[in-house]
Amino acid sequence: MSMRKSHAIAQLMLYVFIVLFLVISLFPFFWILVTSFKPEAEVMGAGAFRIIAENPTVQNYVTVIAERGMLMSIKNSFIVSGVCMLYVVAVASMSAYIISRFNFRGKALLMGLILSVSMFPQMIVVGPLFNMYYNLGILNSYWITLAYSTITLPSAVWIMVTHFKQVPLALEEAAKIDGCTIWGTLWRIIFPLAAPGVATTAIMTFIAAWNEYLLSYTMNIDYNYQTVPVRIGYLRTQFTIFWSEISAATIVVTIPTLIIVLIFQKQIVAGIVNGAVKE
Amino acid sequence: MKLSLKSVLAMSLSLVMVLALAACSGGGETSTAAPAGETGGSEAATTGGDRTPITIFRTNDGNGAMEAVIEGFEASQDQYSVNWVEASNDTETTRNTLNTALAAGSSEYDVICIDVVWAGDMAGAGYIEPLDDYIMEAGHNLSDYNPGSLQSGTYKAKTYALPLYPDFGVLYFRSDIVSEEDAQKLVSGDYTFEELIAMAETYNGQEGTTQGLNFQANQYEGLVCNANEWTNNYTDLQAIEVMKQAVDSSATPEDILKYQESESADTFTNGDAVFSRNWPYVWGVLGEGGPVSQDQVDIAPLPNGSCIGGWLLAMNSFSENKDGAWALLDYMTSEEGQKIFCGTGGYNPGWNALLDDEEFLSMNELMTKPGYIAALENTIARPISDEYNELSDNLQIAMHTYLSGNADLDTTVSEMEALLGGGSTSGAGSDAGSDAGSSAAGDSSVAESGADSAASEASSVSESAA
Repeated sequence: MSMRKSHAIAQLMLYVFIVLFLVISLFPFFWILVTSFKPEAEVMGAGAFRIIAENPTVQNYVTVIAERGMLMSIKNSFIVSGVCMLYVVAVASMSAYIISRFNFRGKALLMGLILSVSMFPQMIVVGPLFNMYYNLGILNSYWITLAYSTITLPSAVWIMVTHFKQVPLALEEAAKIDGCTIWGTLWRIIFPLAAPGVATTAIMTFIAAWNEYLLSYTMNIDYNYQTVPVRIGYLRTQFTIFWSEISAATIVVTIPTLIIVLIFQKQIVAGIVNGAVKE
Repeated sequence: MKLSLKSVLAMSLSLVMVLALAACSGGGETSTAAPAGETGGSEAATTGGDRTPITIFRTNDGNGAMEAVIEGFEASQDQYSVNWVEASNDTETTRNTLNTALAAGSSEYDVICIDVVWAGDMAGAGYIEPLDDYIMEAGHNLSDYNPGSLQSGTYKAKTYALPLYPDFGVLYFRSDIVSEEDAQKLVSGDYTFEELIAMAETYNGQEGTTQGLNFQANQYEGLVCNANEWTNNYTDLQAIEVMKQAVDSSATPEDILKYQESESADTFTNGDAVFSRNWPYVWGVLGEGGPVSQDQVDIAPLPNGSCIGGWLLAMNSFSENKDGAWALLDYMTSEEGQKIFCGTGGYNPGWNALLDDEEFLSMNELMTKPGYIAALENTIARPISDEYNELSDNLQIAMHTYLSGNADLDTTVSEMEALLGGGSTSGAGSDAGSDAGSSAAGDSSVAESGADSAASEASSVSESAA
């Protein structure tokens, strides 16, 4: 009896904790949503803590989309992050396959090197990259995706190695017996079976590229190639920051990413159900 | 299932290919155009196919001034067109972008718009071109330009940048609260910071105000500007004590050590403050219909002169078309372009003659305010150094530590003295200048600039001797 009671209390505390955690972590998003419907004058000052503004407005959305050129940057972000995602997943799965299935000299060193690349501070990488892009004449272009691999590829390889290692060797041997080549094994057996890992990598790569600021700002300053985070940085003057417009822009650009992530989440679940339990 | 996975894979791979191709062609277009300057800026050249494009890097203030001046330039000649690449409005970000590009020897931008404090750094690094020969050839005199702003663009006695528009500190006050007598005193500039603190304490609380006075005392570039005014262009370092008095006073907000421009502007436009030191842009904010209107506010100069901010135009030393770059730079900084640019955008002119141009003055309401004109005529520059960034950081730390009560006056003053060591010559020069400046209005600013440039010349001579 008392054990059941204490169990119930533990349960209750868990729920309280979860609710608190959710409230705290979701509050910023909620507040951005609230702010996006406020006129600029009400963001600060006496009415700052109002949840519904005195004069609620959708003007911020209109301004951001129609006047501030946010659509162009959303398009650019999609192109850049999408290409980066696909290409990083392709390259990372090949490297991860080699690393997880073959033994060769210096493997540990190679993994260490890959990891250390991702540890370079971006500020140090950005200068040489700029010089390279300048000399190649590819500043202000979608070639920026290549630069993004410096930040996304290392972690992608590491995640995929772990997932590929989990695929039972027996399946691979079976494929080999059936006459499957190494390429075939990678793309037909490992890749689909490690789908959850692939999807995770894809999402993480996409989000990292979507949020990237420094490289994009340094190398793609031209309006026609600006990505979303860079464009949002333009919603200010020298001394004032238009918080309500920034909030509206944040909401606008979060929606497409949210949809993408939701789609991939389905893939993860599908991957688990289809691939896993047949042993 | 197997089939569908396969097709998904095939699809994604082909997508990679297609997108990679798209990326290639996107890149290709830009790279072919790159030698002549980037195409596709938001304000790409629309006129004439055989014009040489000149690229300018400058923020978009959203007031149509850039568009207007570009149109004016393109109509004034038929050799060049203008390609405007929008810089970020965040000053530090823009600085980083420029430094990265120029460190790589990039010729992307022909004309760059720089903050007044960057000229020393950039000139020292060889990123920007000295303009004296061009100025002489064009038949201009240095006295044609706003002296404080011009001085900011001077490095080792050479002019590296010309004023696009000067910005300067002014004191906003609530004319509906402050007595007529005090208001007159303020507008004439004949008052001291001690008196200002006393006034702030007197008027604090009237008409629902909660702050007598606010200014920018956060640890950032703005502190260097404010302290520049309190310490009389860093000649009277002991006067930092008065600034501390103000910080500790009950008339200033408790968190004044975190105040930047936006905090000052927000509280003042909300009707919380009687006195507020800020830049001229706040006047425009007051006109947007908040709790405090322009009718309730007047403007006074600051006692020791107003710290110069604002923007300069410089020429990229790696530019592949320097004649074209000069043509645009000269147009934008001299009479015709200045009238269009400053008139449309409501900026202060960097070209002095416009201050006597009735038509121009009628375009900007601020120009009718005597306190504002007095401030414009008595401006002071921040210390100039080819390691300005470091100097500014160290000054900020030293002063902020003192203002927050974590260091004593003597230590702070000697620390600041050591930091400003190299710049002390120029400080002494401007001291003489601003003494003259505060005694009379008008021509004094020219006298000041003379003293200053002489001083910086002297310092450069001594530096090269050493």
